[in-house]
Amino acid sequence: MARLAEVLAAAVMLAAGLLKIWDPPGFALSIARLQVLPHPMLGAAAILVPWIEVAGALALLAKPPWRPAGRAVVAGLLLLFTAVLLAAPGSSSCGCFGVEGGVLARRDVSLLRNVLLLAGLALGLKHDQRRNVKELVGHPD
Amino acid sequence: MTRRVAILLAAAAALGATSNAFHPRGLSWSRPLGPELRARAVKAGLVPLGLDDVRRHLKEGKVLFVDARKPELFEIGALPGALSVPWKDVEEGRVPKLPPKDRPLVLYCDNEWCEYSLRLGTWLLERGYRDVAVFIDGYEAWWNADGAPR
Repeated sequence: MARLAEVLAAAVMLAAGLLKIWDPPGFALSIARLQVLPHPMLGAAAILVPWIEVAGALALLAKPPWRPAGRAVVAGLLLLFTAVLLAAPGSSSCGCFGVEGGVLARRDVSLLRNVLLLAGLALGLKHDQRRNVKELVGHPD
Repeated sequence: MTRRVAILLAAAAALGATSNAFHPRGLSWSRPLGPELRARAVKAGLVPLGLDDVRRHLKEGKVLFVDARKPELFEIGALPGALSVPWKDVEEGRVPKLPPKDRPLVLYCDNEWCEYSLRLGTWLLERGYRDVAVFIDGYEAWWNADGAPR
């Protein structure tokens, strides 16, 4: 269950990142519409954020040594996106999937999705911690 | 874990910079939307103008500048002789006084991140206006270059 939630979070993040990479001006426009970032930072954010999403998602799908790092990156991004959405004045769309995104990019839907994905990541973290404790108990040396 | 997070971020930054350099619609790091808005204006049938064109038109005085920003911003400052036609009003069905159809128009809003002039231009073209241009860099570019008191 915990792993499934993490795979789901990674899949959403991967899809969102790839859609933004496909259309950089569209993503730049979406974040400009949010009116949260200062203009000089829009270019860098539009160029870098999608690749951080992809890198985090791939690490979350990878083997355990990379998984916690991927979880941290994806969780950090989700927290950042949630804060941006809460701070964005009167935004109706999050730009999470590029310039359009339909119902999935709606502000309320995005906030709910972020909370659910964060909960999934928390489940994964808890699962890993339990497994680590079990391994320690199983190998007390 | 911190080291791996740093590796992931560094890899993402390297991939982002490389992919942007080779992407056919790659962005400028400092002005990400300028070229894209220009292309969209052309596609919509509008003539994109730069700051030098605007300076020339201001000198010649033949075109009518149309300010698509909110009225409160227009009140604070606008291009000389501009007419205020706020896109927000048009979008919400409160159509303000429209510019005459027999004069060439140059629309503008805040800057290259603002789409109001592009949308207003498209709306005017649909209503039979023929000679409509858009000052892509917008009021801020003119203000920073020529408008601010020295």
